[in-house]
Amino acid sequence: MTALTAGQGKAGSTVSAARRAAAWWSSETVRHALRVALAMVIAFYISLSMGWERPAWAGLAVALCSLSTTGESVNKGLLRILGTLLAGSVALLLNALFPQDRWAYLLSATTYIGFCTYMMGHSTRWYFWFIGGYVMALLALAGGPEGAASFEIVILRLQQTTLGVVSYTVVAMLLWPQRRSPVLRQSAGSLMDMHRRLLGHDFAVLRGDPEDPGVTKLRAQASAGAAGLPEVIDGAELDSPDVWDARRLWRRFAGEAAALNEALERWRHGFGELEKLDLGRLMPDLQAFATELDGRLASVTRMLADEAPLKEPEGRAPVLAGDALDALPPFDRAAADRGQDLLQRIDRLTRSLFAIAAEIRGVPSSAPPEHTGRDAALPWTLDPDRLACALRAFVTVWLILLACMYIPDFPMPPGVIPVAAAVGIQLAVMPQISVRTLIGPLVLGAAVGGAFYLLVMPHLSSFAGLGAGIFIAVFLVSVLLSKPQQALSRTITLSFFPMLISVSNSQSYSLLFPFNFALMTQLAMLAVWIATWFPVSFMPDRVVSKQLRRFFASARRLARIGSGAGATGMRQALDLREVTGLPGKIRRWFAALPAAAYGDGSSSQGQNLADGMQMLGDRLRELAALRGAPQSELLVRELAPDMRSWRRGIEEILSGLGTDPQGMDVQAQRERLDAKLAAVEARIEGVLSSAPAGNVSAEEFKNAYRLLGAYRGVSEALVELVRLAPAMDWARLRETRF
Amino acid sequence: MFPIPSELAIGGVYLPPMLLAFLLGLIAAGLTARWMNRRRLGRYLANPPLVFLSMIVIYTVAIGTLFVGI
Repeated sequence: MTALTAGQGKAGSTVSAARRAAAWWSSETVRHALRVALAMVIAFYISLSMGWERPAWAGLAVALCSLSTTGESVNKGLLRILGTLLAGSVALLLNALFPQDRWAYLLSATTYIGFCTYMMGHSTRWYFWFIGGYVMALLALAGGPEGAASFEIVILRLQQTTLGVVSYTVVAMLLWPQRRSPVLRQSAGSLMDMHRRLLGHDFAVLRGDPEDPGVTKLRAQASAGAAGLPEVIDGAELDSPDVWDARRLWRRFAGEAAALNEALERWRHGFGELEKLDLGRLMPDLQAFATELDGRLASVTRMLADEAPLKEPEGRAPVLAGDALDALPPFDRAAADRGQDLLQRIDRLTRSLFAIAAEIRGVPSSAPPEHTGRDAALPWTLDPDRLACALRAFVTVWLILLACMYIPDFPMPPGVIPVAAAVGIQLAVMPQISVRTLIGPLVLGAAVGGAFYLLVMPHLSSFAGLGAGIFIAVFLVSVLLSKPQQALSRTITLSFFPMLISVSNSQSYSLLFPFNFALMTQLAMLAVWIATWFPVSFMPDRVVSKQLRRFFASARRLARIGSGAGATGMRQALDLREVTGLPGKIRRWFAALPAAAYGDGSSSQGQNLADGMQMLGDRLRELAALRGAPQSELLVRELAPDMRSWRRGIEEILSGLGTDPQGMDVQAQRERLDAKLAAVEARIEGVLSSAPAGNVSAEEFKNAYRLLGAYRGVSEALVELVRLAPAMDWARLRETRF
Repeated sequence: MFPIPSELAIGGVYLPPMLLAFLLGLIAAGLTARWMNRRRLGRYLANPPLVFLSMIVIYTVAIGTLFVGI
């Protein structure tokens, strides 16, 4: 290298370093860190200058409500304020109801905490219930042993929380504001694009193309996108007047997108039966409809990006060719009917999505929105998993309460009880997380705040120094812990920071305080850890085993019910919720299983099993819904013995899956179910051919075929599940381990 | 001879010897549980969490009595 080129290289590297520094400085990470740090300083300044006590509460509100976009932050801030209002009201009410009765007070308070934990699984606004639960414990203790200052404390907490939320909101609106509405449009558009690609892939598979291995990931992304859209709307409607005005449309859009996702899944689950049919003859317009749907969803994506649609909806879902349909045996006819029903549903849903997107864009479509007919809502039932989370929070708080009462000099009771309650309640939204993973972030948070409190604060003499110190510390924490996988550490460190530095107008220091604080958090974790084992175990392998047992028990009960029973009653509603909801939960718990629990298997086998269970659950729900439809008495009477035999077969297979899935013989079970269904098919053909004219109405014919389709669907899904089950190492999964 | 109980001084902060014994007991129980998991010995236990808690108590008492002094 010559001296000249060496010099050029040096200059070049200086320029590129300067560019990198400029890019870093203008990155969203740095901007967000600047916003949080500035808001924290402002919140502390206002609180101290107004002479309010406990400014840490304002700092805490900034730390916890500072999200990446203004809308999300305002949404979380409002939920925090409203939750504090609820918590304060309950704290005062309990004080008034049980002023002299310690046990009644504690029992009511902990039951209320359990109730809030249960309610967290209810909606996207879980943060309201989280705050409502743990802040109640905090306020009840902050009021002192007599509770004389309870009212002032509640008002102070509300005041400081509102200050923190307002400080961050103002800063976020003025400094490089980030709105949620573009994210909403982008998320909704990308969801429609994923649905378009899924539909394209599914039509190709029906034409005989091989399955694309990447489609599983795409399906998971589409499901996650559809489930997450309501939460994106929560934030976007608060930072965009346009989204606020059209919020009802956006909520309808999210509902229809979720329904479309579900319809696509149900349609796909029937491919095993559809692939055996000559679809080209049965539905000659199928390809044209595939093209129409592709253009329709592409138009929805364009309209969400504020562009003109490619075209208005035109074609309709293909109708089955009558002559080709009549030539089919009953079960094939049932499969074709089901396929047609689902295509019509997909047609209605995509038309509705098109109309809503056009209305959001402000240029209503000439094709009016159609009634998409939601699935009938199931009656209310208790969710056993949410109940277990509520029990864990209840037990956690009781463990700490008893420790505070009976262990002399237990460190910081007013702090440890709310911390234990907060962790216990928070775990309801992520029950799979291991308690051990929280220890590191808690120690880090205590170390950062403790170091600032012990090493920096004693050297400060004015707010200028304190403000600069807080700004630098919060900025560094936000930047250094900015990666998505560090979110937990960042949140805990930022929320511990204002609590640990305990800023006040008459500042005092205690060497023991940070150590006691760290010890207090670990004691709270110990209580949570014990409650994770007792009385309900939250170890992934235990939970998976229990949930699998529950799934098969519910499936068995649903299969046992005779035709015409309909889905009524609390027990059936609970069973339907279990078979449709548990596979999703099991999928998440499978992902949290330790490698030892898979033995020779892998996590993908667990995911496949959960997918098979979802298919069976959906088919059982379809069956339950069809049982309520009017049926021909003649058919019901004639088919009763065969159907009883089929149901017994299904029950036995489900029992086998629940007790010894590895020992199931796939081929034998398939042959057994096929033989039973063949008997049913033969019986139907015989009954229908010999039935007197007019004895069975067209509607009853159609319902009978639909019901038969549902029965065959359950059989097929069950055989598929029996095929998938032996892949798992069940002995290792059920093995007890630490 | 068993060690005489005395507080631990870390940078001027005095900690009870029981705390150290408990922490060492916790680590020892954790390592034992890990080893048992690797050897698949957990399958012979009716309730592993209860065994783990018992191990913490046994190790804490043993370490505290023999090495730390409690």
